[in-house]
Amino acid sequence: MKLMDIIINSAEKDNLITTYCFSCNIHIWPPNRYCNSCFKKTGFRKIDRKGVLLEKSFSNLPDLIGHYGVGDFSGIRLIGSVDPSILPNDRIRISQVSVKDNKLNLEFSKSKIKN
Amino acid sequence: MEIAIDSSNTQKFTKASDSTTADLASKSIIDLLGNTQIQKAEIDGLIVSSSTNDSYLGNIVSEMVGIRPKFSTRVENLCNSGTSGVMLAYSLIKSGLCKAVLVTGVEKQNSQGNKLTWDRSRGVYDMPIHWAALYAQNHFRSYGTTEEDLAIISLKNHANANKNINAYFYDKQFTYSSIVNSKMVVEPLKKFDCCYPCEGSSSLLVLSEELAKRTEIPIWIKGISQNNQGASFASISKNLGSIISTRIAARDAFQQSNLRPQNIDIVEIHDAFSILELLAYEDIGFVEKGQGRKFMQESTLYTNVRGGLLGCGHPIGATGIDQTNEIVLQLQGKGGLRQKKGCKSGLVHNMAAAGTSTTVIVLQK
Ligand SMILES: [Zn+2]
Repeated sequence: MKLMDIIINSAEKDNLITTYCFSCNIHIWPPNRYCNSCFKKTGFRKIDRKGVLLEKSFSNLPDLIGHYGVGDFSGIRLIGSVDPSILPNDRIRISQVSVKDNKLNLEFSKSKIKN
Repeated sequence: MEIAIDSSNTQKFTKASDSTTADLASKSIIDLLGNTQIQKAEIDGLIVSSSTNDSYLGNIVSEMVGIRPKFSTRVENLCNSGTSGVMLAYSLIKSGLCKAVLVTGVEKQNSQGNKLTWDRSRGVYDMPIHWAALYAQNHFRSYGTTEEDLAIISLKNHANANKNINAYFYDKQFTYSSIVNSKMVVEPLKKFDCCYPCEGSSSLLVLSEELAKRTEIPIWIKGISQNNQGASFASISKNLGSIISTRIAARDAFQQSNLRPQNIDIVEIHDAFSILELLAYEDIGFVEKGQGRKFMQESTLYTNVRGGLLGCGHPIGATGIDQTNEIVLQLQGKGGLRQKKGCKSGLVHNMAAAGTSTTVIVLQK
């Protein structure tokens, strides 16, 4: 099975994972069977749902209308819809994980932890 | 050994036609061969740059134009395909393997290269405009750049395209108001901040020093470099303030050429989205980071005289070749209606997929 299909199947069950190098202790995204630093085989690990919003915008494209942004979680960057009140550099959490048209569909909300 | 570009050809960029990818490439090569002092039999390399999935395209086109080269292949590097082809041709000649290499960039409008399906890390936000808009928002927030600044870039490039008969928007007149008031697609990028994917082909001939000296006005490749930072937006989005691949490729190309940004008279920049032109001013080194909007207002550098991707349209594999051809024509004094006076040194900047890959070429008369 393709790595991304495993991740999508897992996301359908609200479980957000990606590949992980247990030698370098890093998440790897997009997923990869080998760590591109040490070349050891990777496994899977949950992505920490707490992160920081790097940048945001507003899309007017059909089916995607609304605020979206890129956030840093566990050292990897993910894109998702964001709550309008969130600003770049705010602490955020991935509040919803789902799959739409076989693509990862994430929602970011403001983290309860203060900056 | 010095290496030069002699002849060039570009076919009009259009909507989808009945022509095949190979038809489009062949027509451009045939027209180029009708206008060069180099004989068809002397061509020992043929590279087709394209994001098509047509197999064996290099040899199909070679057969269609009656060339039996020592080396023939297709090069695919998304929007950076054309200039990747130029870099391969340069390397073949520099190594002594070939002496005259034709590079043809070609794309059909419905090319698979319009969508990077590999990069599923973008999730539902997989359209390129979503990463471009994040770069723009970052620049707006960090340096005070505005929608009006981007509209000025778009207006300039669309107006330049009105002097380029091959440009997709050659016949269409734009006003500042029509651009700045065009439909918002993804904030802050509007309809006319975005290039139009179209069909087209463009060719050039790269020559060894020995062959180049037989031609009328050879244009010398003084520096050529490329940098690749991965393939996914996730791999580069930690820093949305810069296109890192552009900074590295430009630094290397300038070093090879012994020239500096202030020595460049004319530049072709990859403006698939208006914000990318502004970022390129900074990342190539024409101006300090954050000063792109000021540079745009005050600089005398000729930028995207061809019309850019915004005015010409973007037939993926052909774009880098046509960009290079524009600098070649301008340095040769063959720019026609859009000829700029006194240009001695020019630069080509081409990139792909969220800025993960950039090629920079420095050319001189
Ligand atoms: Zn590792």
